[in-house]
Amino acid sequence: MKALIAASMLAIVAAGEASAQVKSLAGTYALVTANAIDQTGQIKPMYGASPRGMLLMSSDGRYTLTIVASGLPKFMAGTRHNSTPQEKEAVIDGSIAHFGTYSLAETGRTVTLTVQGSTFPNWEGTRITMPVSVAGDLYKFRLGKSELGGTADLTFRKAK
Amino acid sequence: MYQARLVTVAASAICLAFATGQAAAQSMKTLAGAYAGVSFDQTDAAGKKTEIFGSNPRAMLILTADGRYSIVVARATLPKFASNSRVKGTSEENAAVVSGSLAHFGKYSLDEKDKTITFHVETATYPNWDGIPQKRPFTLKGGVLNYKVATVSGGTGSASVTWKRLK
Repeated sequence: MKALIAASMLAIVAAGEASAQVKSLAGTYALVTANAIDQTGQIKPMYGASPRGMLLMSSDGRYTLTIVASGLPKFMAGTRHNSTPQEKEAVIDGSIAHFGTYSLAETGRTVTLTVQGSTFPNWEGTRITMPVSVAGDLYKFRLGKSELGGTADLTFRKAK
Repeated sequence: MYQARLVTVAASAICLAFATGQAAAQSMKTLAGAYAGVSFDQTDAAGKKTEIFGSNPRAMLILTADGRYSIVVARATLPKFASNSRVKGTSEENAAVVSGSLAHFGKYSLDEKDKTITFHVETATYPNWDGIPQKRPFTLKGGVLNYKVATVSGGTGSASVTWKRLK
């Protein structure tokens, strides 16, 4: 009986956390995981094993988001322009950056990014609407479509 | 007497350290905000000027009051990827993006005396900058932030970078 009560309490707490509304997104976020999930439920890291990323959301509705895979090769030539095709491909496949404005829906459950500039030019001028959920200091954003196929989850830890 | 003087000196040192810390915190509050990129002008050794990210670059800088920063810059004319997939860019598309964009983030610090801002780069899309602090003399006048770059990331020469605070 005790175990049952404990289990249901735990479930209530877990459900409560998972469904918590987001009141404000303003702040600094460090990336925890960036995973694509294909139709069979298989999880594929989008930017390698230990991606590094920062999301900044200003209180006046602006954002920047940058994600970079760990271990990208340094450019041997020592400048951005004279890199080899392999170095360029590693950066493009292993990174994304974009910025613009964001708005949080009144429900506190979806956020819309309006992309003004991006290292993936196809996203410029587009809107990305993502369900957002919070559990403690972990914020999860769900991208409807990932470039690797399927959906994608970005999980961030909000800095204090 | 000697002890009293020592205490006074120590107390002044603590006050000074505290005041300096406070001044830096004050300045961070003054600088904090979102900025749009205005110009990224490079001057090479021969004095020739170029716009590093072309005309009307798309760029945003966010500085937080607690010392974090993020910069994303992209040319306005980057080609869309024909495959519509980031990981399936042609070598020309990849080259255009690497040459025509730059993003980095981390923490920043201010030096009141030198009037410098240092970007402590944690991570950059130009991997050579990872972990390398970038110190720049800066001015902030009427919402216009300008700083000088001693050595640019794309080749040789120095640069003058200007941002305008977004309202």
